[in-house]
Amino acid sequence: MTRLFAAAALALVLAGPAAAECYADYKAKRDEPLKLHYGVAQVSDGNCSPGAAEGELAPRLAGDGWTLLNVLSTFGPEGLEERKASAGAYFLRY
Amino acid sequence: MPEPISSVTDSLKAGNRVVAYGIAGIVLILLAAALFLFLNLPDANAFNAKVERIFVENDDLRTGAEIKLLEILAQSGTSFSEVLTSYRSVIFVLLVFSTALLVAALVFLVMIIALNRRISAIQRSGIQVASLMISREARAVYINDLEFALTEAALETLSVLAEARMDDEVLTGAQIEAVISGRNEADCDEAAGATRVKRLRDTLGNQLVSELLVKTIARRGYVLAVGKDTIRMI
Repeated sequence: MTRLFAAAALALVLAGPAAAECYADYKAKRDEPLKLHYGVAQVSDGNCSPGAAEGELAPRLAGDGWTLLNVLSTFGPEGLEERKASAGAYFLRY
Repeated sequence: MPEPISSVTDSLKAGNRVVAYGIAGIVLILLAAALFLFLNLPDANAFNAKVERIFVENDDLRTGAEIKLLEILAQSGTSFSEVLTSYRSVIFVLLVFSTALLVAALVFLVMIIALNRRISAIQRSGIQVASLMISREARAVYINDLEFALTEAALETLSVLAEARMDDEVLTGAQIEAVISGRNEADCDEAAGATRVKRLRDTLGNQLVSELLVKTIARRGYVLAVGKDTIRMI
């Protein structure tokens, strides 16, 4: 019984990160001259909410001179295809 | 007449104080206006901030073309900010001009007031000799552009007195006689100089009064050379 539980728990731990992929779409800007972009980026599963994803994305974008304006939503792999065209060059870039 | 003269200097002092306060006031008011204007001019980045807000607030603005359009909007706003800086300098120049004009106007106003007071004081103090020109050739003296013919002796006396005045000297009758006759001062009589001065007074005084007060109109008679409204009888 205990062994069964341990195996199930192990399976969950192993499967968790592999199965749940989390993505966020966001808006960012760069000043002087004003540049704007809409992009899609992968975030870690622990940060799979708009509020938490903001904290993870902001430093990543800042490294390239972009200021994160807001995170619109977070979604799984199924939402990637419909956003690919809009994000354009910024699809999974950061 | 000492009173009007002292009142003139008093009013000049008061006028200077008024000018100082006035200039300080004008500069202060215009400085405040300039500060107000500069602080109220929109910031160059105001347009960018507006575009950014539109971008954030509308979630469906996400395609490349829409974003490009927003960026172009922001750029046209930024080029407008260059116009704003030129406005700033134009406003500054205009403010400096208006300060200068107001200060000049104030100074002129106070000058006019002071001049008016002086002119009225001069009018009250009688004949003021503004210029005295002695012409030996024409044997005449020009007082305030009025020509008075003098005898040779009277002209000599006036010249001696004029030279002494230029050196800030006071001459006795004997000294006048000594200078004109060329003799030693000790040999000269005080009375001789006094006679010379009396003759000068007689010829010049007579002509002055006839020019300035009792005029002779040829073949008609005599008339007072003063305005009707200045005469009062008590």
